[in-house]
Amino acid sequence: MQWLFRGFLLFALLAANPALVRADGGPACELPPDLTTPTDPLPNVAAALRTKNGLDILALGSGSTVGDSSGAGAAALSYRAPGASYPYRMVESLRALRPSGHFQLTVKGGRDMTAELMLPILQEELSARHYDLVLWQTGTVEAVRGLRPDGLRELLQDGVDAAAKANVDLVLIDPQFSRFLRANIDVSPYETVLQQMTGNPDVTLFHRFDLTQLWVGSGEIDLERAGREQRDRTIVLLNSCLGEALARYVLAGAGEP
Amino acid sequence: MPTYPADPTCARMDLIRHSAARDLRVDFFRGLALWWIYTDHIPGNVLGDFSLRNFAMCDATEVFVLLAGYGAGLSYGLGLGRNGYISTAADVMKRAWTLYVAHIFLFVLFTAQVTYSATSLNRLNYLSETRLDVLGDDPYRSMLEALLLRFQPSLLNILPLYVVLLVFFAATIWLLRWPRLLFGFSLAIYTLARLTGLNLDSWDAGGWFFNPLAWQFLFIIGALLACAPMRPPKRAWLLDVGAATFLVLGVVVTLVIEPYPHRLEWVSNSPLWLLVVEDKTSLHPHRLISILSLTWLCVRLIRFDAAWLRSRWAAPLVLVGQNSLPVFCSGIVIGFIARLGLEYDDSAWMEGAINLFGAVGMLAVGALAAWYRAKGRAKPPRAMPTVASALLPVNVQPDTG
Repeated sequence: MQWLFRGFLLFALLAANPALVRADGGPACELPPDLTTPTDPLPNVAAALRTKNGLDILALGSGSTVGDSSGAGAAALSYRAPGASYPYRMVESLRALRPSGHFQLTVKGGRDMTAELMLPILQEELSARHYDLVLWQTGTVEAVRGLRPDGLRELLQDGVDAAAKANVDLVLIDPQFSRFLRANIDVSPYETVLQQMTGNPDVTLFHRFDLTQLWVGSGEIDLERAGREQRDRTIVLLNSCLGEALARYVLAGAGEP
Repeated sequence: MPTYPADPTCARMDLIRHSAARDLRVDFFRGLALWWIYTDHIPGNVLGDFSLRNFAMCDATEVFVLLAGYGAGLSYGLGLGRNGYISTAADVMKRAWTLYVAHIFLFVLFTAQVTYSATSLNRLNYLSETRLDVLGDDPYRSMLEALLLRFQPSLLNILPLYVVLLVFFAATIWLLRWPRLLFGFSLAIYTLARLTGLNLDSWDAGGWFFNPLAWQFLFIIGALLACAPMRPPKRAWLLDVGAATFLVLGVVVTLVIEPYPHRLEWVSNSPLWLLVVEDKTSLHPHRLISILSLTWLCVRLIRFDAAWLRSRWAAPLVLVGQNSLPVFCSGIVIGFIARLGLEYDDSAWMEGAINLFGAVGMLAVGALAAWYRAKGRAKPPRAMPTVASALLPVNVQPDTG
């Protein structure tokens, strides 16, 4: 019965928002190759796909990763979509792009979580079991709170070291673009730090800021300008587009077409 | 034309304060900083792409704090010899109290504005971006923390900094008699804050967004420039070249490197990375050198008595700069309304309208504040002054900027 309900929901969603899928079945948003291809290959991902035809993925991040963009205390407004944030969408896209593959996802983190709080989780997860790929979304909370970029660099370096020890590819994910962030927060020092981490082997940076800025610029996905009624649908669209972009990024990193 | 006898109560009230000693450059640039603070803080405002932060490693905050220090130095430092330490420090504390009350009022106003807009427009991001979601998490505690200045929503972090800087100034103002000692003391605290990350504690984050232990250095430099001006160096051209070079470097970093991900990536992974990492919280040396270079060149290029500072073109910014507290507070509130406008419609017309709205609004608030002050000055005294009161030291007009 539940699948019927889900199917109906999906149908209603698609019918209500034709922008979600294009006529040719491709993604609803622009995915330029330079933003969906890592600058360096992802060797551990490639090896896992080759040997076990699957990936064990850990996604670690703040609100957008765990699907909690709520402002607590305003329960009527809160948007919690724990099973629908972009890492889940990425796995859905991976399954669509590689139907025979086995993809396992673990999502950790929480709203307002800094890299300092996430680092122990990362270390614990990596020592507890083997992952092939870690997505680490961070930097936003640091930038909003004005924490020192130097401090972020040290924490990320510890995370990078832990990932290297565990033979796992690390994909860092930078803040999501918003006009508010651009106007009020100086993101560039934090971007620089994230960028610097890519100097380590098996560490790449997924440019979420540039990608989401592109979508805002073209008017495809613009959360800040979405009207009250379109808001939830826009969040769904954003998550699925980011998921699609990440799936392509991961497969491109593994040398897959 | 009939002429009327001069009557102080009927005299035309000049909204802009002029005097032989008043440095209108300070008022002008403070006004400009306030305007930049307005344009910069509205997400998606095109004018925000043309403010100082787009061309230099510092922004309006540095201008504001340096000139706040300069203003405090002028208003209180010069009266120190006349009125003594206790009286002067008390005046500074009174000013800090005024700023504190203004901050609390602005906090309530801004919170009401943002939370109402967020709930009625279903825009949760307003709460998380301004960090007012904390208020929803723990409303009772956050009231207390706001009063203790340990809870500072975004955009409401400059006034708490100003309050603490004035309290710090009240405590250290007696050191103004030994400017080098004060400078050294302030530099030592700055260095300590930079090296250890020492900061005042905040409730919902690691520390204050503007670390007062670092920013006090810029404030004290401002105060020292007012009270203990340096002798002009023998080889001023060397400083000219150094300052200009640093500013050009700032233009390269902010205009040529940072906006382009590939260049930023290249620079970040090269030995030049030191150029592109800086933090605002603890006033990174790049930011400090940048504002001091700008100040030096402004002093060199713009004469104290430059005629254009008294022209009608400069008048709006001078007026705004002379009434910076009410203008700053209203700018925050008007800025949020402007943001709502831009989110409703982001056409060029709306861009023009919100900036005009902000300019007129801030100017009106500045003019009103100036009018009240001028009215107060023009009022005849209630009691006839006595010889004794005439001999009392004239209270230094507190700097209301």
